Amino acid sequence: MPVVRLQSVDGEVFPVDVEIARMSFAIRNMLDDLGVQDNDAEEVIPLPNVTGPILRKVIEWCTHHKDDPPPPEEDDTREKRTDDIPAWDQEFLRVDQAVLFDIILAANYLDIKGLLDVTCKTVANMIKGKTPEEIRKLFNIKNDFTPAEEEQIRKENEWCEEK
Amino acid sequence: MMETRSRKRMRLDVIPGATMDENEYLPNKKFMWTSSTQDTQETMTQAMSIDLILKEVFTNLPRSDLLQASLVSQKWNLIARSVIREGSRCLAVISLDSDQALCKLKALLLTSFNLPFNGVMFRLHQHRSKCLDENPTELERLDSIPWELLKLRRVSIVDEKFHTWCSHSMHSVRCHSILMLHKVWPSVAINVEHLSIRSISFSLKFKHPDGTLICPNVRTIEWPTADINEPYFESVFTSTPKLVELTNDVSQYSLPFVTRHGKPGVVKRLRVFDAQHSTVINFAKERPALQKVSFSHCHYVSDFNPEILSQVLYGLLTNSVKELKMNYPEMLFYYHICKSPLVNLSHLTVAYSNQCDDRYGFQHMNFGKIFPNVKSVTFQPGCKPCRPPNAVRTEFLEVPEGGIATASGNTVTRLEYWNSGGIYDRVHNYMEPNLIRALERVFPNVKYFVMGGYAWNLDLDLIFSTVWTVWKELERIKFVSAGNDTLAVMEAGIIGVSTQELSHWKTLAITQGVDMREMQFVPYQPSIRDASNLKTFCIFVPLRYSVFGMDYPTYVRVGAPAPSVRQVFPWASPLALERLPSLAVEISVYKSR
Repeated sequence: MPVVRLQSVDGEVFPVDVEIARMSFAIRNMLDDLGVQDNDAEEVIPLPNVTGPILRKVIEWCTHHKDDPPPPEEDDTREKRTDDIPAWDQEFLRVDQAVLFDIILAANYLDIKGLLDVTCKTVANMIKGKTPEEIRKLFNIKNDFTPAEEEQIRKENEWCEEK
Repeated sequence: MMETRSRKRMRLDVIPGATMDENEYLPNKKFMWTSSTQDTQETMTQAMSIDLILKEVFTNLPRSDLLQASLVSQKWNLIARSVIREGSRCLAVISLDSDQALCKLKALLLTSFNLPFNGVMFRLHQHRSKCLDENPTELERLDSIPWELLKLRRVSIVDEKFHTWCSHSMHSVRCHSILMLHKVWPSVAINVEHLSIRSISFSLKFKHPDGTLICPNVRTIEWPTADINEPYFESVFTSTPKLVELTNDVSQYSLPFVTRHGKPGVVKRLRVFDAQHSTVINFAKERPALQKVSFSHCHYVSDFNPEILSQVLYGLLTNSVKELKMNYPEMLFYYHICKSPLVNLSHLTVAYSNQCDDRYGFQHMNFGKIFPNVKSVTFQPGCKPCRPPNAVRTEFLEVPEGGIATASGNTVTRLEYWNSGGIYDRVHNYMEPNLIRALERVFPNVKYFVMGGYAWNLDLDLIFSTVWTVWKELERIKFVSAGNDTLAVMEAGIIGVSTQELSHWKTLAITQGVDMREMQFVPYQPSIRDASNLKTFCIFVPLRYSVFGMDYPTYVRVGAPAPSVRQVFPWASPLALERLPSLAVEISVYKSR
């Protein structure tokens, strides 16, 4: 199996099967643009935006999902589901909040749609059913509304509540 | 232990310096950040990245959670509302004749730049119109609303309960509706891109005052009937150069008018009724990019003329068609003569006619060859009086060397079967599991099966066990009763469910995670096969039903709590009721289609 070498921002180098690396559309484009052949094993691709530990996690996820069928076409008219996260992914994403957000950032930068979807669904599940105060506490967010502004938002929201 | 980066903990928070433009924040580009140093520029780009993530996360939330999220912080409010606006339809309902609603709207418009909805529905009420009739000056209060601040791109106009009004009062209301809209329209119209008129009052007889309901920048219009109003559309076609689509079905009778005005391209959904051949063929010559075509009745079939039919089908059925309803002989004709696959077709409705025999010599058909990507198929056998017995079985599925080839509809995952009576009739012995097995041979990958329509003396148990057994991947089953007399038929199936079987399902709920809250009906003999795929099971019940010629209301409404057993089955025997209570709580009642 042909291999590419991915280098994290902190200098760590990861040999990765080309097919797995190409799950990232950013890397796929890079390989295609550079005309890198499958047998260019010494080619090192620098990823200046991803640290070694996070890159290791991303590669682990891609390796596990390398044989997944392509995702179905999105239907914007249907509400997205968040209760369909596979058990393996749930366990994989049982990490610190900071690590979770770093994985999201990496998935976005590397353009790995499946990983971005599953991580964002995980965060969405953390938000679901919570009050604004609970959400602020969970993510350490400062309430920058004045009481009057908050009341105003609440009143405005009444316009689009389900009737 | 996972090694974490040595940088500041990232927070979903307001980042100083981050700015957003109301219309184009959250740019669709990849963010960049580094973890080494954190200068001002990086902080800025980090902020942008967090916006992107927030938006990605929010697209997974239902509206109720998005509303909660909008109360977390300024930034969350901005992004949550943006997701609400960009998402599915979220209309603010405004009663034009409610003082309170108008005051609230005025306050909102004057104070908010970040509206929490993506459209407005205006409503008009009859009794207020009468008041206006007595006191027209009341209309002046509409002048105080800064309508122009709404900047509405999408407007729907409905008048409530029109179906209960007599023609006289409808006329009266129509006038007042126009009067009120006339006040609002000049400020609103300029921004409207999508106009939806859903009141039948605005149909053929509607006469509009100058400028009313004309939106110069409108791109799509939904008209309440298939026959468009020519005086109104005369104005529309001359004053709305950006109009690209009528989102309602358009009847073939309106085609000469549309073609004459050089606007055949705005018709996307066409209903073909009868044999005004020249009208349709002339339209077809324009090669319209139709998205939906419905052939109603069977005039083309009874007046069968291969040359005309091929001109019609060639012209109308292009790759743009996503939804198609046609009669079985037309389908066969298209298959054998035109041979061009409809690659974008996703939903096909096949209707039958009283001319369903194979008299044209069409034989074997490979469904997948001509409809390669269809996901959903609906069968609508014709009405009983005009359909010979066993038509479906003999003419469609079981004709030797004919019918649709086995396992050729592999892409079909949703199958609907609507019946007008006959084939399930036990008395006449039409109902056969062979029919469902034949369907399974053609469509082997069905996950959602719907059976509905008028039926009596229905052998529900037999249908259950057959449907359940033949499609191994089945996830959902739905039975829809369209007739007032259908509930009585279903009773046998309902009371056939024993307490023992209910216990079996409760066990499955625990061991296999089957959601009992979604189990509106417990199938007979569920142990026939593994039920782990099944997610929902519904029976739709009409609002009224009749037994032995007597009408009974079911006392249920859409969204109401589940009715009591006695409400649903006031006529049921004590023995039947004894067996029902534990089950009835699982029944949800929906309005029939």
